[in-house]
Amino acid sequence: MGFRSYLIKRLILGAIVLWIVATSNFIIFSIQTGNPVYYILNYRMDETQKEMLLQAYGYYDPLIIKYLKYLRNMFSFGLVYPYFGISIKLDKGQYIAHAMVPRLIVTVMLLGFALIGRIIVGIPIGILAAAKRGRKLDVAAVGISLLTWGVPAFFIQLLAVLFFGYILRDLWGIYIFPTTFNPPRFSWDITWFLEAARQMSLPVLTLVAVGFGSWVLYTRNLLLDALTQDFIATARAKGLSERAVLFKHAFKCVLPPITTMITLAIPGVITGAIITESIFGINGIGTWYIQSLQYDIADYGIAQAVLFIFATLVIICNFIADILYGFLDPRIRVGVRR
Amino acid sequence: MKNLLKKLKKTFPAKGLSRKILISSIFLLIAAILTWVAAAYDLSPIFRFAGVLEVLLACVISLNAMMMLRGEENLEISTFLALCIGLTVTLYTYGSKLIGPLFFAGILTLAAGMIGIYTFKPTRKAIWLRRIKGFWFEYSHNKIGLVGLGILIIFIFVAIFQEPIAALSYPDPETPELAEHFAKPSWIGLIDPSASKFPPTLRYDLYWTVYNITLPEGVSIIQETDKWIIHYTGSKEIVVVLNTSFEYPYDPPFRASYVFSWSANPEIVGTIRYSIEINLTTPSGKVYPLWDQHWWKYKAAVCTERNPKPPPIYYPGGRDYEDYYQNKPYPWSPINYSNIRPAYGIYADKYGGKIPTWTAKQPEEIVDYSVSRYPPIRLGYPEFETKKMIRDLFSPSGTFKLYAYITFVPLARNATCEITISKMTINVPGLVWGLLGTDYMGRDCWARLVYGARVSIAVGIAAALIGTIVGLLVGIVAGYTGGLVDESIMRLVDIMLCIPVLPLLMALVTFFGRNIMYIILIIAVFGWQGLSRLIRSQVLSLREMAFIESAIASGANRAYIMIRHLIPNVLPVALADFILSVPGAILFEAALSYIGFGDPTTPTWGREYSIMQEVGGIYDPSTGVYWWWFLPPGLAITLLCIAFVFVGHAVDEIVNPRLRRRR
Repeated sequence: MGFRSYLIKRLILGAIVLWIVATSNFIIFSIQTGNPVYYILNYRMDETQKEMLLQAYGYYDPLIIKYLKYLRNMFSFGLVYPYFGISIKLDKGQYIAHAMVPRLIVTVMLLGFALIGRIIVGIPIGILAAAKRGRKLDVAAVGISLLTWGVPAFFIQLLAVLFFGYILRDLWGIYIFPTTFNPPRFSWDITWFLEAARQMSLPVLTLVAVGFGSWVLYTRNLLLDALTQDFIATARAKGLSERAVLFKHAFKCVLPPITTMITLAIPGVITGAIITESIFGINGIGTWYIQSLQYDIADYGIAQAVLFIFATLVIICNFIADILYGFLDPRIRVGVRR
Repeated sequence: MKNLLKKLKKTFPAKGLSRKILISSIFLLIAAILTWVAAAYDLSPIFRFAGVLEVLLACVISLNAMMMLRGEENLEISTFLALCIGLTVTLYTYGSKLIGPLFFAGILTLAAGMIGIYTFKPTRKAIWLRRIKGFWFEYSHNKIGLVGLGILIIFIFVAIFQEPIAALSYPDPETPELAEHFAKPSWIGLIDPSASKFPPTLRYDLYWTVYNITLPEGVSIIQETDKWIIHYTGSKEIVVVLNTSFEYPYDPPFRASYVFSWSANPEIVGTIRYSIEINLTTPSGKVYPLWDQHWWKYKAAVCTERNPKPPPIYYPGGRDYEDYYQNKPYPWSPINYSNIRPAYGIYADKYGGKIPTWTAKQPEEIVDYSVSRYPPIRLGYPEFETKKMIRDLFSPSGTFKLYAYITFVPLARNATCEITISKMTINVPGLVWGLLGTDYMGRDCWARLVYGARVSIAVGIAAALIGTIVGLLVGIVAGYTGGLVDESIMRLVDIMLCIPVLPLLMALVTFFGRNIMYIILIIAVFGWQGLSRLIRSQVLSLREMAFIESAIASGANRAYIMIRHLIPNVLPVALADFILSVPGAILFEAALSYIGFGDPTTPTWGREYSIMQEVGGIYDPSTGVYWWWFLPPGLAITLLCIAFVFVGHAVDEIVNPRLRRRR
């Protein structure tokens, strides 16, 4: 099995996942709530107008046609005409895809920064801990990692808001981080991105602080596992320096499993991002999603689109991780079955 | 059909794994699911039926377990399962709304597990004891594990004895207005000297005594338990003065309220006028009117259509209406009451006329300026100044005196009137309360914290247990069966690992109801994939081993091998994974509650933060952070999760072969 067929297999799997997510969205939302067209019917309309509207929105379609239309709508990824449909309540009259773009960018920035930060902080500490196994540094690293495992993210973030927004800024007059997210109107401009990045520094830092522990533990355990292997003993017997053993031999065989860890970490990061957005008032798709599910808003088209986009994000990241895996693990590239 | 039955009989022969126990556990499972659904929808008849069914089946299972003991069966797995299920069900239903059949089913299952342990064959018992002893020996050398176990035991203790522990502060977590909103903990004085004289919640029941030592002629006072009936017959204008006092040694509160009732009963209407006036004298000698009948009359005069320019309103303090508004900020400056002279006297002086009193019969009226009706003391004071007024009123602490002036003005000879006045109750909502203060509604924070423990532990354990059992079974089946089954299960696992759980969970919870049972189930549904991968890989290496081969050679079928050989071998790994996945479930529930998608009827730790978010803030710039409300739930979640992580880490190091090899 070559690398290409492996990738194709993963792609097919991703498409199946997307289909399952879309279908379950369809089942959950449309069967439970009926047709959201009822929300835009107006008392000023007369019967014929209502009928026309209902027909235009496909209210009288059989379920299978509705489902097929829905699938077409979703799998166009908001790029062509229906643009995921029209928002009924939240962004009245806007196409969902169009309203989503600035929010999606904010969320992707948050997710990306958090993930990259976790990796950048977690892996070196894990390597250090493995290199100094049993010493104080190792114990401290493992202890802190175990601690971050148990702390609820929202608690740390609320504490951060309290500390930087109230105690430091209001009481002591020291301004370090902005604690609210309030960037100017979105534009495809580098200054906008810089400003947004600046304003989401505290959320990203807290997300990193909460999540880097699992990376430390994972890297450390993998490295320790690798260090017991025979080829490490060989390398040491050859007289290589400990640094060379660690980075050239042990770390290289640890990298592929770490990339799979990325795929497993993404749903967790999304969970964290939704909560973070609601704490810091970040106007991303997480808060959008929460709002759309509120009882009095019930804009389920948005909820469907956001769930679908989340799944898409996960699959894209998985795919990237798979490609990385192929580059890092030559056995896959040349088609040796693991 | 017949073939299937035959196959079933062959798979589970009567002499082997008891068929009865299998069938009854299937029924138990169905009953449990029914109960679950019924409890979620609160369909009580089904719930009751399922509960009864469950109790019966728990009996059957425990009996079967004992029956099986007579044969040559080992019962490790069923005992373990019985213990786990029994513990979870018991812990969850103890004292909650589901108490009843489920609770007893839990107890029975627990008992079956215990019986199972006690009736092991001696050799098996010895093996298990040795295993447990060996495990405990390794475990007791792990400091982190011991710390975690200690914390965990404390939390479980709190969860089980939740009611008495909450009662240390206040037994009910939902009662509002126990004290001032955001009242501090009562031990605050120890760390903050400025708060050492904050008042606790006070309630004074004040009983009147007669101030005039010699009562005027014609007056008689009859005291019932907390009522004073003042009877007057005569022709003269007289004043009867009652008084009482109370000690208030604290700082001024934010609010205060008073309650009393009075009624008047002139025998012949129109023959006598009467009036009641109650004044409060502070230790510094200032006098504040609490109740004055006239006031209502003036108030009525102000707002009529016929009377656009009302007559000047006269206040007992010697100021009239305009004066009252012009001379802010202290319109209630003290009245000189050194000579006992009720208001009507001044009124009569100034306007030289009649005393404006009711002449009609007055039914009983309860005067209640209570905390809920803000402001508490409003007689004669603009409402927005209440806080300041209360501070002025209570600012020099000491002995406060209350005087009640009851005036009779007969209009005819030998007129008769009876006035009834009750005791005076003064309520002061405290600025300090209980072990952990109060939240934004004046509810007890300690009780809410303690009540959250059981829910969190139960959610964590139940979700992790269901997830672990499913993951264990799926992993074993996938690993041992192999082929298409294995492939499809593993692809399913891959797919489920890709789905972001929280958003999906939010959608599901929105539509299926914000019920803690659903939340547990959904967390469990998305919590078994990692374990099943792990178990599968273990089983893949186990099934090549010699003892499996010899079992196959001696004619054991698949089910037998899976249940008797594979499960016991991977059980330790599953145990470690179970403990390690509890904090995940707890944190997940907390996060879900935090964003506002939790069960609104259950007091969980995460919901506290959702409430904080709704109410708008964890600090007040003027008074500081409400740390007694904000910190404890988060710290409790953290501690509980860390305890589970520590224990799980320690167990993992002992049982996990991959980690053990390194040691």
